[in-house]
Amino acid sequence: MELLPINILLMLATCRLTSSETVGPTLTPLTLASALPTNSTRVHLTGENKVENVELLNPVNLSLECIWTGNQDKQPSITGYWRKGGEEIQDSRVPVAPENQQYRLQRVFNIVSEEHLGNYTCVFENEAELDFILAVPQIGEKREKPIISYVGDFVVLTCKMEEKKPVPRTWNWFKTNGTDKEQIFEAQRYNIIVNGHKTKLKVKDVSEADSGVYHCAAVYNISTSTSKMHLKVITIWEPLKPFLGILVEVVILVTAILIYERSHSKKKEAEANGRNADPKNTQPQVEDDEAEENTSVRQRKT
Amino acid sequence: NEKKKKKTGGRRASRVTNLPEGGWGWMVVASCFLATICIRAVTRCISMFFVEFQMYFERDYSTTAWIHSMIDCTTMLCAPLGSFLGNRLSCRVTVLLGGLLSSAGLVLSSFASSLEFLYASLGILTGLGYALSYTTAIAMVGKYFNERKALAYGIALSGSGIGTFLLAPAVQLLIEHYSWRGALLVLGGFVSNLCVCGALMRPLETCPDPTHAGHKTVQAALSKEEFGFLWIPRFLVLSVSFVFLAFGCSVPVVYLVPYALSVGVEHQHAAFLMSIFGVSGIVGNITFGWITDRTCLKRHRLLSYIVAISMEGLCCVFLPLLRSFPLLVPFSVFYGYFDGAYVALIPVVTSDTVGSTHLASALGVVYFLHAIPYLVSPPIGGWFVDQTGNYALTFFISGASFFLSSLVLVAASLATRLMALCKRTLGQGKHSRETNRSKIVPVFSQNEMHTVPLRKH
Repeated sequence: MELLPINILLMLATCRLTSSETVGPTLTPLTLASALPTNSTRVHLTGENKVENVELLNPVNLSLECIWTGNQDKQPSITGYWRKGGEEIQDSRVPVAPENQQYRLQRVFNIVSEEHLGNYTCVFENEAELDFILAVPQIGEKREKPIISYVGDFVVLTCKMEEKKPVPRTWNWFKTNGTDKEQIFEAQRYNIIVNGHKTKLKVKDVSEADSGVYHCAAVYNISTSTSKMHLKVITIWEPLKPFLGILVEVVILVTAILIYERSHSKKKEAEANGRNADPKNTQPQVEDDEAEENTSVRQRKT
Repeated sequence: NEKKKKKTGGRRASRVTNLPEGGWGWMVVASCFLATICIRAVTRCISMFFVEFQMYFERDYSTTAWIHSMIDCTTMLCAPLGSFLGNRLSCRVTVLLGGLLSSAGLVLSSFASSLEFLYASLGILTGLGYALSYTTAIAMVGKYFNERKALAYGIALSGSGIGTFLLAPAVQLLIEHYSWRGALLVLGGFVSNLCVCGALMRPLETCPDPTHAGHKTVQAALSKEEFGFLWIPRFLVLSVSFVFLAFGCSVPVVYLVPYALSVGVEHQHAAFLMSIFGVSGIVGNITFGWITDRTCLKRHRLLSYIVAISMEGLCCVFLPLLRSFPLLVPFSVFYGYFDGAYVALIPVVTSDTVGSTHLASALGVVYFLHAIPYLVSPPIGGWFVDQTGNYALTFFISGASFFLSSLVLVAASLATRLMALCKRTLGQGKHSRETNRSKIVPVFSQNEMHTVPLRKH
């Protein structure tokens, strides 16, 4: 409670520091004051939780709080401190006394730019600790397999942020050129469409030089989150090879079957001619059957 | 004496030649199996391209899904054309032509520059090719078999299930390596194997000698009454039954996965249900065909068909009561099994009703009757789901369709038996003595070509 005036001073100080550029119409310095309670994260340390993800879009004062229920020892006082990225934060060591059998460690962090994001850990010395990962919303769908396109065709690369995550301010596209990324701007061959949670990059008249890794970046006030995809450009000859192979197989099979049938029928004709040569053995039988067939046919018709 | 009668019965069935019941007939079954893979399995796998089409052409799901409906619809609607050509030219030439058309359609689609182009090249051209090949290939099997017809058809039509099973991962692999254009090109090559199927469809050799004159007159009679079979009461009743069947059968397959998801089954389990359905269908195809060919059941093929349909209806009606994955698995098994069963029996029952000479034309009409219900019933089912908020009414109506379909057949069968019974008890002495021996029965029960003794003597 006694921290409150200090907090307000801190807030007012940060108000002047942060840029006046705001994301939406609702964000004014006044609401930054009320941003503090909405951007506090409190976690109870139990055996299971090791990591807590916190998504941030805008510069904010973030209050992180760890509550530990203690153990059988019931120590009167325990040292707690904070770590950022593995290194202890200076002047963060405080003695923690149990209140209602709970040890509470809380600190307000001033998150303004990209370097303030990262891995924060609250530590109850020699007893328990918890990681908070502060990051921008990550792009969920990742396409691991390369996207295939053909020389002369166009290709559409898409990136999508989940609907339930906050909308990025804008999207940017980059292409990896050697070791660094080169931004792609709207040009004759490139067409960028930004549509809230989705974005599309249309590359026209693709050639083999366009193969490579492309990155889409969702831009938020505090940082950007990226996702990459691989584009591979091939010629029509690639699928043509199996296609021609199958065609050849079909032609061979059809000719083989027809030739076999022709030779088979020639054999049968030769046999039939041979049979016709001896007359009386088979004919009476055939006639008998034929007669019976005729009578039965007559029977059916009536 | 009895044996001789049966023998003449067999001869009469073929009219011009003995049915091989094996030998090259099995090659024809294999060829029909391959044809079913190239036609039905490929049609089902086309829906795997939709995500790619949506991304490339920047259209939504329902516009792209039209492609699948168009192919299915054209294949069924143009089935009579296929059987007409099969009668005029030979079966072999028709299947070959169908193979060329459908693979040309797929190859052209790989160069598509708009979704409308795909509607024309896939929906119309490939669909037309399929229509030419499908009915003709199925009709050909019926020309080669009579005793083991159900088993032959079971094996031949299991290609649809087995083909989907094998092609689905293969198509996925093709799309990953060559993108949709290359995949369509390679699929076009694969479908050209329909030409091999056509080559295997050796026309039945006609006996060159004494019956040759008889053969010519028979052919003349055939061309006159080529579509005369349509007006046989038996065939009309069968057609009505098929229309009800077609309304019922497409809905549960389409809505099984959404229903499972709505009652809380996970995505992977729901997909597994479809796999179970597919495998069960294959088993049903082959085993039910084999069972129906056993001597004790051979004379009751229609009854087996009715049993299969009724079981399907029963499964459908119970479906809204099954609300968890362990309960839905047996449903998938049974429904899939009887689905495979009746699919294999449709050509058998048709062939029993109209005879193998008219089989091609009859099959054309049968599949034509399937077209509109296939197209229309899933959206209607979906409309019911939207209106009532759950799937119960939709599944209930499907089940009712199945029951109606079997009811029509049972009623007709009972009616003809009653008529025959009346005729006999009305006493003409001569007739009763003749029916005792010749046993020619105009009854709506199985193989009209085989003489069958009346049950009650």
